[in-house]
Amino acid sequence: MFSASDLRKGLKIQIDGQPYVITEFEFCKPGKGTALYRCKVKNLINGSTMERTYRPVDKIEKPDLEERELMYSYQDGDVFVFSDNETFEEIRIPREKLGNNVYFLIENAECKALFFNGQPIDITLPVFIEKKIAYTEPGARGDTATNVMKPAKLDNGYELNVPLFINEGDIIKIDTRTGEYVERVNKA
Amino acid sequence: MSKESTRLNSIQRLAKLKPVIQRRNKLLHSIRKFFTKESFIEIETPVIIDAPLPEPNIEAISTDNGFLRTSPEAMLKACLAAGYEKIFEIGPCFRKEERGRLHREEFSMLEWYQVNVDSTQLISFTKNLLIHCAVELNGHSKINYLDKTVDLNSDWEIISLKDAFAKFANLTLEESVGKNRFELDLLDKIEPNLPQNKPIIITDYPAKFRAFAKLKDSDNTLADRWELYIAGVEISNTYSELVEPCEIRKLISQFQQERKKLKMKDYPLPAIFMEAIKAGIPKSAGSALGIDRLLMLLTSSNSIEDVKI
Repeated sequence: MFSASDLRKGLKIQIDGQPYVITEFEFCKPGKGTALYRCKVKNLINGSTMERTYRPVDKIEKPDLEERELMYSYQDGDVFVFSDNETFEEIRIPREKLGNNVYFLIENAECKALFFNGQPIDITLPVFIEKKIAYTEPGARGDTATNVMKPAKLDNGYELNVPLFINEGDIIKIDTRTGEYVERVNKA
Repeated sequence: MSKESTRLNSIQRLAKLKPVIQRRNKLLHSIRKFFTKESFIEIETPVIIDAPLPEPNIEAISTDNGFLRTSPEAMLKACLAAGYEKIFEIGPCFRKEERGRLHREEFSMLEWYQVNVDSTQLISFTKNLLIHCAVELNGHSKINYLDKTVDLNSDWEIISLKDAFAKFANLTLEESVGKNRFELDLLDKIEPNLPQNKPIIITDYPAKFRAFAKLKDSDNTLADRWELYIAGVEISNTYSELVEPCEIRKLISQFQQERKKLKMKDYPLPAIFMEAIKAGIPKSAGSALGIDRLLMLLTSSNSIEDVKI
């Protein structure tokens, strides 16, 4: 259990059986009264936010959270299979829990996963990955402007905007945090 | 390597603070000038004490054989009992685990006492003090704090908590205290709705939050105590001192019980304060003002960390 005086921005706590992170924190003590610890918290599973105020006597539950290093292995239908780097245990994560991350999984990629009560709830991929452009309209010849963008598609169906000079077959670097184009790695 | 980079960061922070520290120096100088002109004497009392006053909701930091003072109140009142009539102290005070934008475990307090006055007489005194400091520091009486402007020279609005609850909250002051949610309502319903364009004085705190203030002659459910808010920041706390020996002793025992219930630390009796009570504390009023917060207001600084080394 945490005491109210342990609370601070970034601390992970448990409320009603759900894991939260404190995103904003303010210590208040109005009018010679009791201290109040005001927190804005974000649910680590569904991202919803709410406000909570604690008093010095309050105890706050500690969530059972564990960060583990995983390696992506293969796709099995709608399930993505990882293996634990230490125990080699197979971790199966359904597509809906991965969101857009499914488009950026590359075999043998090293990932960090957050487990709550033994269940994976969040996965962090390598920040940059390289992917091949499967389809895009050809750009004007000699056009090297980087500020004008056009739509493109990866072979797994993911759509993003790329500069006009990118062609089909080019390998590009993508930022997995934003899902956006970073730079061209190899010309087709 | 990492040690070196932390050290560099601290040095960089100190360098960044230099302009505000110069203004802090000017502020301290102007406070001293004001009190000297008003015939107060400056007193330095010990920072390490045998026992803090057993106030509910304030926890002291222990040392090997005593405590760091949470305020100089007990010692300054002992000085009143010893015949000092107009006294002030500027210095560090310590309150355990108070950390935030407006709080730090170690902070600087200005505290002053005067005999033969009551708390309301200290309103105009406080106003003159703050105008004096603002003019010395900034050349005018306006406080431009973040996005707010407050002229210290405007009429200070005095609002009783009872009226503030009637105006801004959906429950009465008595209901709020009864439901044990006074602090929460003060924070959520009252403070955000206070006028922000002039200094505000909140008066008539419930007896439960009296600290060592005397109760009002006209209503013994209320404390003869007020707090000053400027631009939403609680800046000072003033009361007519409780001087009746039996009442103080009763209050100390009551606070000790309350602290026990809240599982707060058990303090030894504050011997110097007990002696002061026995010798007789004269009729007086006193005020405690957060110097760091005042400097925040005068320099439009967001946090106490921005004005204090």
